[in-house]
Amino acid sequence: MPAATEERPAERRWIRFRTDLGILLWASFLAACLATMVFFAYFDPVLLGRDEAPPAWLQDRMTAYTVGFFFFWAIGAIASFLTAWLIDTRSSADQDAP
Amino acid sequence: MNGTSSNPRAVKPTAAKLRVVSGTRSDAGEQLYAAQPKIYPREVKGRFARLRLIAACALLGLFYLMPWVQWQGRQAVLFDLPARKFYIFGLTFFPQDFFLLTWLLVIAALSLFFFTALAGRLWCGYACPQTVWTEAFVWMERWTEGTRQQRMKLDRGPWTFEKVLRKSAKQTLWLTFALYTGVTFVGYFSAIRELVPNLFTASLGTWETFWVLFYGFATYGNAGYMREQVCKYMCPYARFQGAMFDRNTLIISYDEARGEPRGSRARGADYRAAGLGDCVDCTLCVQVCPTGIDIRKGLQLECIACAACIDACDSVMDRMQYPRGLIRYSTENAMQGKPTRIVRPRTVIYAILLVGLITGFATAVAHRELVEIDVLRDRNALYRHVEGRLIENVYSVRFVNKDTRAHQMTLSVEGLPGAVIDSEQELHTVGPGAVVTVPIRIRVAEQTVSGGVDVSIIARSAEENAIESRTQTRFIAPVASPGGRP
Repeated sequence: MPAATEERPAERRWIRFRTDLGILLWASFLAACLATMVFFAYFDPVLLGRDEAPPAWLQDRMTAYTVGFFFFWAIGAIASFLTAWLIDTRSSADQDAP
Repeated sequence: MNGTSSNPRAVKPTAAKLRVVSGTRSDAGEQLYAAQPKIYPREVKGRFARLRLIAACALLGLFYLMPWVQWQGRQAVLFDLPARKFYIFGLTFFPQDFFLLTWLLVIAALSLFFFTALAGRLWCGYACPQTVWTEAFVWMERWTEGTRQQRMKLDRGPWTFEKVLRKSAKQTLWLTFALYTGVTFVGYFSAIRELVPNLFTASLGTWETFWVLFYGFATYGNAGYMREQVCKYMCPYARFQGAMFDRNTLIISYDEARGEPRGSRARGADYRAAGLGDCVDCTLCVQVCPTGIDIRKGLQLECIACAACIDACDSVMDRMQYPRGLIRYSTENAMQGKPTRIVRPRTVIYAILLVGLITGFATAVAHRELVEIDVLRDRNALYRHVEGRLIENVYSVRFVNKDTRAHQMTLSVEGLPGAVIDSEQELHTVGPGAVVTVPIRIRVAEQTVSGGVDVSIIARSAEENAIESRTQTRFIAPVASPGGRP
């Protein structure tokens, strides 16, 4: 018998949540890598220094790349979370529809 | 704990493809959320273990040594992110060459398809960084905690002095190795010959420190703890590789016709008379499996084709004096006694596409414009009247030299009769891999131009086989009124 049936539901929910979170973070991580690469290939953060508007600390390339990467990751994680959550919580009638 | 019960996730032989399609939470999907028993892969010796060892050493060696290789006085492979330049031996790439990187990624993906169609998950078993680093971490685990049996006993036992000692030795090795991996990784992006001394004098930059720790932690977690769970739950390739498989793909398979019915027997006994097949049911193939599956249940999504079960089974077959190959690299066709075809539409199409893309890539790299120019109009003034009834426009010209040597560039303008270029110097020297921006003024007689005109600016290097690069910009003059000068 699979070990899962012997576990308490709360424990099982926790394991399930952990796995889902892992998948969610991982998928958004991959997307963030791609986004960072493409975005910064075309956009040089030093250009921010030419105008007065953006925060000055973003002009440093290493800072901008890192901040950009985590920004993309966060946005991707939000999208992943919403997707997973909306799929998970839709009514069962929809799920069974052909 | 015997082999079969340690594998709660056994699936039917045909399930690999089915599971790829059914990604939703069906009953089978629920098993994804079962707690995973810790897998203790048993050590294995043999042909494929040797091959894996060679592959792992070569790849790890390449990764750790490459940043230290020098080429013409600088790091041979350096992805200099702060300077936005990529050096790969004699070549320098700039963000403008981004399409080449995309192209390269397409080639890599297609190669993966090609090799998968031919030989299954060759990548997973021998070359994937996840496999290679996991292997290195397992070596360290064996040095400190011993064999499979010893490790299982150690984990079950109480926290004795020896257990603390062995566990902390393992953690020390793992952490050191993971941190150095982080340093090497960052060394591809920031000169490693400065990075390592900075590390020891504690004068590493903030972001460098951050990425060393980030990558080090990722290595530690992935190779030390997640291991093949990454292949099972996180790897996108593992999910779609089934689509590239066909009946002629090399897979690791258990010869059911020969092995079944399985069962233990005394050595030298006439097992055939007892109605038994060649499988002695020793479960060694299960014990060595890093993903904890039983290959005798057929092709499974989890199988990363590491061939550890082949080595284990061959060693048992040798001891029993049965022929080797009860578990072997084979194809579905070969298993059913049909011929295996290597040349087939799928492989031919992949091969043609690959050759085409690689040729195209090589041509694109060879025929790159070695010196590129960009021209930006001055934003402050559209035009100026200057002495001698001339109209002047101001631009800044940016030279990007992708070559490994310096070039002397001259500028000229086309599309505007009688126009002259005025700048600080005649020849613009652009060092190897350098980006130089110079202001220029283009002047032309008032009567020859009215309104905006498209002009070409041409940069030419002052040498034989001159490099020529051109770009378009706009020259703006006042619209001439019939009454003459406004």
